[in-house]
This record gives sequence, C-alpha cells and structure tokens, in this order.
Amino acid sequence: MAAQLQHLGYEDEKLQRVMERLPCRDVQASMLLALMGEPEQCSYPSIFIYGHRATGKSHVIHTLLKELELPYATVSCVECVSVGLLFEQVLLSLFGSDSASLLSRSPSLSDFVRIYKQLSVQASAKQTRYIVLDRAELLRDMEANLLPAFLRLQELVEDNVTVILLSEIVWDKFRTNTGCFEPLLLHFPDYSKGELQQILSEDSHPSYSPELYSAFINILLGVFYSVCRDLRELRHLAALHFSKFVEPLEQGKVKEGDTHKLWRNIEPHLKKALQTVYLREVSSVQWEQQLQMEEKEAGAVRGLSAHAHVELPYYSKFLLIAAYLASYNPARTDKRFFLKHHGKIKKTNFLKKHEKTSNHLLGPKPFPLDRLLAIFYSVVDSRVAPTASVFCQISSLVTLQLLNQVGHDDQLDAPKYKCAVSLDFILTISRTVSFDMVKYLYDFL
Amino acid sequence: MMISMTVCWKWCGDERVFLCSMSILEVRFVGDGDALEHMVDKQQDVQGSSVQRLVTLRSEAERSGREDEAGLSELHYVQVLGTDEGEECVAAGGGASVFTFQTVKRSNRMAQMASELARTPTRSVTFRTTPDPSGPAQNGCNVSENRTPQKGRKVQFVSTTPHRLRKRLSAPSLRSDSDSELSPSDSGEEEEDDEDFKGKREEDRVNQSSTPSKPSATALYKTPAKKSKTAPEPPCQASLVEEYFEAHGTSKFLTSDRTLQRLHTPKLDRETLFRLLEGKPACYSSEIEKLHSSHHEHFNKWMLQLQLGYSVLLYGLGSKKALLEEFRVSLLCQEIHLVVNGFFPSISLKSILTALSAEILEHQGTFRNPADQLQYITTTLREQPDLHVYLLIHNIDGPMLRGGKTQNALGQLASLPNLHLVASIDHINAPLVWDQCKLSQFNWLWWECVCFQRYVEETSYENSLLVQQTGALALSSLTHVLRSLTANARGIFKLLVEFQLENKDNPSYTGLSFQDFYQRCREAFLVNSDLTLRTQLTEFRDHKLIRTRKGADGVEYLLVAVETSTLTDFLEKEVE
Repeated sequence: MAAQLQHLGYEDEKLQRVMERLPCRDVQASMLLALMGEPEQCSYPSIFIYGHRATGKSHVIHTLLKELELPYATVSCVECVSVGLLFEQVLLSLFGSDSASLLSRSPSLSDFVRIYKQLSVQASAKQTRYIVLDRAELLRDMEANLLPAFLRLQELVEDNVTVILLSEIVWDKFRTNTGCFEPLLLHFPDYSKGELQQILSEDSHPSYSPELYSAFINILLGVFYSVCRDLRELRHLAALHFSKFVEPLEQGKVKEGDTHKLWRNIEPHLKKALQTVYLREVSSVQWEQQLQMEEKEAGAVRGLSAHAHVELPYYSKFLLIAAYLASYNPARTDKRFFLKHHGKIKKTNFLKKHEKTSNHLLGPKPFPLDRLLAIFYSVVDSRVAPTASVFCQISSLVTLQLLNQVGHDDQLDAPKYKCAVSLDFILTISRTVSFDMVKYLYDFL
Repeated sequence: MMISMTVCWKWCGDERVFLCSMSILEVRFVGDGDALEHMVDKQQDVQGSSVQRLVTLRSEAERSGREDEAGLSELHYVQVLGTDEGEECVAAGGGASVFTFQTVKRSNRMAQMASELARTPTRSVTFRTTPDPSGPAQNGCNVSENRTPQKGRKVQFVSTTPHRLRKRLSAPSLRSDSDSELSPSDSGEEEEDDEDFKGKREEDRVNQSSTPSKPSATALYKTPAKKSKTAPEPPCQASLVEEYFEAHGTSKFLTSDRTLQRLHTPKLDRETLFRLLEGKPACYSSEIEKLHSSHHEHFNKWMLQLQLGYSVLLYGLGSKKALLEEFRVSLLCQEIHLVVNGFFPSISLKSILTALSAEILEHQGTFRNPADQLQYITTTLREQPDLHVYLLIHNIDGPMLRGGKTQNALGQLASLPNLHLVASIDHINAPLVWDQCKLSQFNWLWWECVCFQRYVEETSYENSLLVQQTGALALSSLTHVLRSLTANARGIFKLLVEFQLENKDNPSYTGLSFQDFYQRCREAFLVNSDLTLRTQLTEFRDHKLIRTRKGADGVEYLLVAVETSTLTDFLEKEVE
C-alpha cells in the first residue's frame, strides 16, 4: 500500500519510511503531501486539521515534516500563556537560537511580523517553512487579532510559510465576527475497529508470537470497544492486562493455541478493570503491584471515590445537615417539618405541579442565611448561642467547598448558599450524630 | 425585619444601663465638604488619597528614649493586668464564651452552659435575659413582644433543669409529632414519659409549685414553673425559630401602600432634617458617660495584648469610633500608627496599602498589583523588627472591606509580628467574613464594648430614602444601586462607563450621543429597540447615575455623573 505514494519532490525511500510509520493514515498523508507540494513550491497559507482525540493528527504531521526534513516549528498553545512565548518558540525553531533575543519583553504582533521579515530576508529559504499550532482552539482565547494574523501570515511576512492548525473542534467555532482568511479544512476520521486491531497488534510482546497478541487484542476490543475508542487508552489497557492474560501459559496450564480457555480466564478481569482502572479509581501502579503480583482479589482495594468521609466538628455537621435540608426541601414545607403545630398537612396537599419531579434530580436550590440558621437551631437538640464560632464555621464550610455561596455581590447582608454535598455523604454524617435525615427530606415522604 | 429584631435581641444584654436608643436617635449629616474638612484637620500634613490617615513618625531620640521605657512599661502592663483581672474581666469572659468549644455527646452540659450564659446579665450572647419591667427597655424594642409577663420572677426560673428532663417536659409542646426523636432507644419509653408528664401537669395545676415528678436525681433542680399550652412561653430559641417559620411559611407578603410620597415633604434636604433633629435632648448622657469611661480601664490590657501578638476586635451596640480615638490619643500618640475609616464609601485595599508603603515605609514608586505591594510591606516589616506599626480600623466590616481578597490581605498584615491591629465591627453577620484560615491569621481577641454612642459619622455617608442626595455617588452606593439591576442593565451602564473612561483625557468630551450609544448597545446584544434603551436610561436617571444634556446640534448627550477615579475603581471591582 505504501507503493501508492509517489511524489515528485521527495525520494522514494523517504516516502517508504514515512508510510511504514503511518498505518491506516495513507489517504490523509497523501492528501497532505499533495497540498504541501514540492519543497520549493509555494504552499497554501493555512491548513486546518480536525478530528477526534487520538486520531493521529499530530503524529502524521510530525512524521511527515521530520522524515522529509522540512523546516518547521511546533508550538503547543497550552504552554503559551502569553503571545510572547508563542512568538519566541516559533522564531527559535525556525531561525536558530539567537533570533529570539530580538524580541522585546512583551512583543506585539507587529513586532513579531517585523522580526520575522527581517530574519527571513537574511536567511531566505528555498523550502516552505511550516508552523504547527497544536491545540489551536486556545488561540481564540488570546488576543483577537492573533488567529486572523496567523491565517494570513504568508501574506504579512511575504515568505513561503504555511501555518497548520490542529484541533478537536470544528472550524465553525473558530470564525471571528469580522471574518478571516479561510484555511483549507482537512478531516481525520476515527479509526474503525479493524484499524484499531491492526494498529494495536503491531506492538507485540517479544517473547510471545504476534498471533497470540493479536488474539489478546481481539478479546480486549470485544470488552472495551463499546465504551472506548481512544487509541491511547486502549493501548494503555492492553499493556496493563497482557501479563494477566499470559499467566496460564507461564504456569503451563494452557497451550498457546487454546484461545477459548485464555478468553475464559481473562474476561472477568477485564470486566472488573472496566469499573476500576478505566475510571482511574485505582491507579495503574496499584493495579499492577497489588492485584497482579500478590494475587489479591481485584476490587478489594478501596478506590478514590470510596473515601467520601470527612471528619467535621459537631456543629459543622449540623450546619451541613441544615444546609442540605434547606437546599432540597421547598421553603413552603418548612412549617411541616420544623413546627410543632403544623396541623395535618399531607404531602398531596401542598404538592405543586412542577414539584412532582424529585428535588434531588433538579439539584440543590439556594437558600438565605436566616433559613439555614432557623433550621440549624431546630435540628440541634440543645441550645446553641449564635456565636462568632458558628458564623465562622459557615464560612469555613464555604471554603472547604461543602457549601457554595451563590451570587457573590452580597456578602454580609443576606448571603445565599447552596449545599454541595451528595446524599450519601450527608447520610453518613447524619448517622454519626444519630440524626434521622430521611425523615426530614421532602422527597422521601 | 429578622435582622433588626436580632440586633436588639443580641445586644440588649446589659441590664443595668439598658437604654432604648432607637427612639432618640439623632442623625447628623456630614456632606462631602465637611467630611473633607474633617479629614484635613486630622491629617495635619498628609494630603491626597481618600484614606483618612494619621501618621506620626517618631524622631530618633524619642525612639531610643522609649525603648528604655519599654521594659518598665511592659512590667506595668503585667501589673495592671494582674490587679484587675479578677474583678472585672467581662470582655475576656465574653471572648471565652464566644469561642467555647463544647463537648460533643454531653448535650446537657451544653444546655447548662447556655442557661448559665442566659442568666448572666452582662454577656452579649444571652437569649433569655429577664430585664427590669419598669425600665425603659420595653417600649420601642421588638423583643418586648415575646417576653414573659413575669409572674413569680426568679432568676433561676429560666432553666437550671438538666437537659434531659427539660426536653421531656417540653416535648409535647415543642416538638411536633412528626418530629423525630433522635435516639432510637428512647422511643420505647417515650409514651411512658408522656403519661408521666400529663400526671405531673395536673399536679402542677393544683399546687403551682415546682415539684419535680421524679424525686430521684432531678430533685436538686428546680423545674420550670408551668408549661401549659395557654401560658406564653419565655422567648427562648425554639419559639424564635417557630416564629421564623410562621412568618416565612406563606409565600404571600403583604406590603404597605403608605409610601413616602404621601408625606407632605417626601424628601427633606440635609439642612432641614438637621434643623428638625436639633435640640433633642440626649437621655441618660451621664450613664453613657460612665459606661464609656469604664472601657478606658481596658486600654492598658489591649496594649499588652497587642504586644503579645493578638489583634483586638471590639463589638457591641453603639459607635466605637470615639473609644478607639481615645485609645489612640492616650496610648498610640508616640507610636507610628495608621487610622483607616472602613465606613468611608470609597476606601479600598489599595489605598490602605499605599498609605502603609508610601507614608510609613517611605517607598517611592508604584507597584504593579496589590499582591506585589503586600509582598513589599511584609518583607520590609520583617527586615525591621524594631519598627512597630499600629493599624486602627474603624469598621473592618465596612461595605468596601468585606471582600475575601481584602480580608485576606488584612489578615496577612495582621499576622506580622510587628504590625498590630485594632478594629471594630458593627454588622450583625460580621463574623461571616472570616473563616478558620483567616481567623488564625488575625488572632482576634473579642472585646465587648457596648457604647450606646450614635453612629454620627458612620451613617453620614449612607444614602437614606428620607433625604435628598447631594453630590456625586460614592463607590459603595454605585455598586449598591447597580446590584439591584438586571445583568443587561449593568452591561449597558458598563458600556457607557468604558466609553467615558476612554475619553477622560479629552477636555472637550461632551458625552456619548444617544444614537451612538444605541448602536453600541445593539452590537453588544444588550437592547433590541431604542425604546428599551430609553426605558433603561430613565431608570439610570432616576438613580442619578447619568446626566443628559442637549448639545448645540440638538442631539442628546449622555454622561455618567460620577468621578473618573470612582469609575475606574468600579470597573476593577466588576472584573473581580
């Protein structure tokens, strides 16, 4: 298939080498090569490449530019917190180490264009220069003139330069109000299941046959393909689970050809890994060390999310409970829960139409400070003085992000809060102070 | 309503000098000119920014002289503290009660402590004070509604009952039947208790005495006199809570149609109001004076505590400005100190920091941001441990100093070993400003200083409905007005402010024409028709935010009637 690729400007061996390193991406690569043309030819000013995560955008571009030995600069826009850094990186990799010293301390776009012009006259290149901007969606958050300027940089600096933008976001979201020079759009489609199989099977284990590894990949994809098509994630999972897969072979229980037994052995483990490793509950190192080596049962280690227990002071617990009640109970029902002579009010009596859906589905509602304190005083079974300590604990709960302050414009007069903890969390806390939470919640009546 | 009620309820602790200060409130209005004059005469030689500052730099000779004294005076402080520690340590006790950490499980201990607090008349945290019925306290004060009719008044009446028993006694009346009994083990004996209770109530009716039903362990304590449903309850916390829920139970809120417009003179100007209020005699001036001078005894203690690394915080009813001023005059005159008026509507963190760095540390030049400036002040003060700076903040909870960033910066300053902070608070929710982290930085000692002085200067900057406003709007009232507007209206106003700031250097700038403004608002998706914009502008004009002027060509020009520096501060605050 690599033989299809032919291009006038480059040697055949180089092209051959490139194509070996780019499996399943030959259509895109040949398209790019066609766009780039021969090294001396003037290329298109800007190319915009988009595709999902892990579809080989950066990889294809980098391999092409590196193997064909073209002058290029790669900049990740995440790293560039200021435009000065971006300009510096471009100049450094295009014109050598002493070029960046020409830039002033906080350079503007016109500074960059001027210096670029100056340098390109001195070292006029015979080949097209390439500037690759990775994660280009972040350019939109920088200065407004930056993206339009990069799109027509060829015109501004009067040099044979092509800007390649890589992004996961479609071009429509990039367009500015005032319009700009439209780049060439290129789409990198997702890998299909067969392509994933082909790419993953390439990195086989040296001590086992490629067929065995291919069979393993087949099983892995069978479990994980429905939830994950990310090549990097799948590769990570494959590396993590292969040692478990070949365990029966090492013990001599199963022969290499007996795929069915191997499958029976690994399948429950993969299912378990779907719940733990893939959600990063248990780190990969933990998984390898504890579960594989010590033969422990997977799932015995408590993951990150199981540690949802926080030690709080006594009154803070009640404040949090009161905040939860205030957030998830409608204010009209307060009389029913916290008043002694509320009479016989049934749930159906004050059920309004929009409240038929559970309050827990709609999320927490904001409540004022005095309602929080009123509920607090009525749920605590002893007298509490409204001391500074109680108020400070409310603020501390906000700092700990167990409560949220809503609308930051009014800090003292009538502040509003929301409760930011889950039902499980508050149930645990109410159990420690032996408070029957469910009895007070409107949704569970 | 809730807040005002709690104010009285919280601060009406002192029984001996309890005064109704509400009805005799005298307000003096100080205009911008007066305020400026006031600042100038205090500033003496320092001019310029909006902080009222008072920096006295000691001369070298004085400094060395005082260092010799330092040892002596410190000894003196300790003596002072030692002698009157026992007799009157109300404030320290108050501080302790504010920060008591109660044990978790033994709730009766807590109840006891609460009732103990309630019985001591001088504490501020009381919620069951029994004031003198003959005193003037009852009228005009909201608390009087929920006060007991005082039959058989005993001080112990309140509750010295252990918590368990009290709970059981009040269980049928205080708790609804849907209310959960907290410990499940109790549920079995609950009914039995109930019957027990009924029997006892009968007994109570017969002899009106306070014999406990179980003579075993509870015999030591007196039970409350009676708890029948018809008798009004004492104003305890539970009833306050119930009142809150009763008041907020219905979604219907009745508003009165008796507006200010129905008065003959809907809006007085400052002079008229001043004339009307003039000549009102001040009641209880001698008692207030006595109370005021009693606080003077603590000055030496405060000074010692400041030296020991604490910050002093004053709270209580009445203006504490005069007290702090006397403290400054009597003890801080020879020291380097800075007075910050937190109630001043245009004060900002930047102006405080500039006063510190430029006047006290004598640093020339500018800083890029407040964080840099703070860094500079911190390092400079750490390098010179002999330089002691006193920071006096009237109203540290003032509207402009409430923000988290400002309090953080002040906390960092207060945590320096050679910067000493004295401050006062007035807002009922003031402790909400600080969380545990900030509290540890400030290291407060809470002193209760009930002064009953009028908030003359503090309230002079607030805009009241009764009074016509004069002059340009200050920053806090600007933000206050804008806060109540919609997001779009704020956007419209911000657009105008930004345009005015762009043209601040242009002396011939006459304002933005309406057509131009409409165009800009449309581009920003803020209005859909010029009618909407006109409505919005009318609202701005009502709040005196903008002025319109007809130009020579008959076109309307719009101007923001606020100073440029205030506008810049406003935009900075908006960005936060």
